[in-house]
Amino acid sequence: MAQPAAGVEIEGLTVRFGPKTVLSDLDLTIAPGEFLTVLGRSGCGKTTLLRFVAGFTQAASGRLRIGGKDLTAAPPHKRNLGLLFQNYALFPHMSVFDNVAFGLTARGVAAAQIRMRVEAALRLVQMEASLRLPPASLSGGMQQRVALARALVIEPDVLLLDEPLSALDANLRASVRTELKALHERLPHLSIICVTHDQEDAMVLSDRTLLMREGRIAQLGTPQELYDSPRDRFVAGYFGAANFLPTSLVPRINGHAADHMICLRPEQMRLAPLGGGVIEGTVSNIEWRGASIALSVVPDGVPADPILIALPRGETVPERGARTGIIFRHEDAVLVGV
Amino acid sequence: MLADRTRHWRLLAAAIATLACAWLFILPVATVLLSSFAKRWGGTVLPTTLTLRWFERLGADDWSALATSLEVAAAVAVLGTVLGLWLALTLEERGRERGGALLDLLVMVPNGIPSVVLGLGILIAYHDVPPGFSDSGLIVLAAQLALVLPFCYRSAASALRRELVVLREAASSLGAPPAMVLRRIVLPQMAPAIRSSLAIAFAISIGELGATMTVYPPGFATAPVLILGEVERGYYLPASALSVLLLGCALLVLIGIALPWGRALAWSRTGRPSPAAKLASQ
Ligand SMILES: Nc1ncnc2c1ncn2[C@@H]1O[C@H](COP(=O)(O)OP(=O)(O)O)[C@@H](O)[C@H]1O
Ligand SMILES: [Mg+2]
Repeated sequence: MAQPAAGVEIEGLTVRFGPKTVLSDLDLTIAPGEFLTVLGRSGCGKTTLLRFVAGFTQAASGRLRIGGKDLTAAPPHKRNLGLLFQNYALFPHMSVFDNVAFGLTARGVAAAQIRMRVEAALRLVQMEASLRLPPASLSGGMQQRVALARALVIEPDVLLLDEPLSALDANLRASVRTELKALHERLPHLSIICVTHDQEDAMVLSDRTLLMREGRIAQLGTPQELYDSPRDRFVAGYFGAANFLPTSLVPRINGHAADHMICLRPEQMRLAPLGGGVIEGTVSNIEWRGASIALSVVPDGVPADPILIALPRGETVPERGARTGIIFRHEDAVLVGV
Repeated sequence: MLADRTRHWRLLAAAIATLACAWLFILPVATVLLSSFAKRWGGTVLPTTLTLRWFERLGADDWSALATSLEVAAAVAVLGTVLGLWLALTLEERGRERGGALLDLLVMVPNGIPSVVLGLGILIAYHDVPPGFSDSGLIVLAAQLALVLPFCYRSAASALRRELVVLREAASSLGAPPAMVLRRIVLPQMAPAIRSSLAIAFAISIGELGATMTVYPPGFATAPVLILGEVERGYYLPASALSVLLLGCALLVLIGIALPWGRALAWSRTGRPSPAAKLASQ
């Protein structure tokens, strides 16, 4: 499935539903072949963004270019996009084969060609054995693969996925996630926009992550950038667990404006003997997390939430109610706006 | 114990419902059926001698009225269903705007108007506009169409579920232009609704009397009009014969509509045996 790579450019996108502004003045460029995940709370406008790209949502203003072509006014059937709906949307009255063949039929591809390409697409998702079955006889995971084959067989410029993993149970999620990643590696020219509300999806899958907040971009960058240098407290708190502490604890950044805090990840905190820590507090909760142990420590005197600490296994774990000191490396502390 | 008691109540309820059905529907139909074959019927519980006399005596008038009834009902069913579908699809697209709700209400209005009043309205409004319209059977068609439209619209509109919207979006995202979406997705998905719309419009039309009597032009008669005329003159048994024929035809058509043709067509592409094909091979 080789094709010239197509990037996506969105410019000044504003979408309103009645009086409500769902997306405001959004600018976004997706490089050809890039895997972008769109992350954010429910209702922040992720689906709306995807539906705008697909042509199902009218924008109050804004432009869309795909592969350099202006598609702002193009109807959905002239956009050549692969769309995977949250509930798969397979056609119940058609067999698996006819479902996958649908897009090729719409493009007037010859029957022999259709047969070949449908079979190839179904092999790609390992569903070639179910050719003649009605979709209703397949499990959720299998239906999703068929829907994916149906979206891929038309060789779309961009693949749009709306929460592709959220309907699957935990075990299946992980394996489908791995498959999606493998798929992206096999089709390096295909740009993918994947909406999710799971930060783990974003970390595993994406080249870049767009974190949205109430219709605006909270931060756009690689998952590492979002994790290591969150722009503000919202990003830090949404993308991974985070502790927020007063800037006064770190002399290097002390004196900075009062509307900032320092952000530290749980794995950046260490226990210290009493008297030897930057902060002291009382252990209020202990949770075993498999690879690590999560401690909550209520700090003395510092106005903050309990501090989360991820202890590697094998370290001595204090008892609940014990008093302990906490240290961290000053260079790990990231200054974030509140 | 408790389960036992509820089962008793259910049985009783079922029995009462069956009795009510029998009393309201089966008994009269059986009576008509029996009387159409009765030589004479009076003074006895059941007719004494059976005969085909009443059927043999049916004249050209009766046969042509029967044909007219079937033709009109078929036309009303098809036109009403197409119109109902079209209305439902367009109203749905406008649904989110303000006009939608008002139009929705308007389509339902004929439901609330007595059929005689509706007939009278049509007669007055379209009297000779266009010329000849009120002198032809077309005016009967128009009156009955107005009567069945709310039902056709309602069955089409109730089939436009949220899932169907998603399927349509999926189809157009795959590159299908609107006509193809309609043909390959919307119509097959709405097959049950189309069937029920055809059936209800056909059933209403074939028995319609109020509006038909008000508007029918000279020289044009449907079977119910004829039947009513005979009943008024006291010819119950000949009326029964025509009624039985009307009933038989209506039943055949309704059964025809109820057969799962839509699925037969949809699956024929993949070569899977369709329910209709299975039925035919038995
Ligand atoms: N067709 C619509 N009409 C009115 N409001 C809508 C419509 N679609 C979405 N919204 C609203 O827009 C907001 C964003 O929705 P959506 O993009 O679906 O969020 P997300 O996918 O991030 O959960 C929500 O508040 C939702 O209620
Ligand atoms: Mg959504």
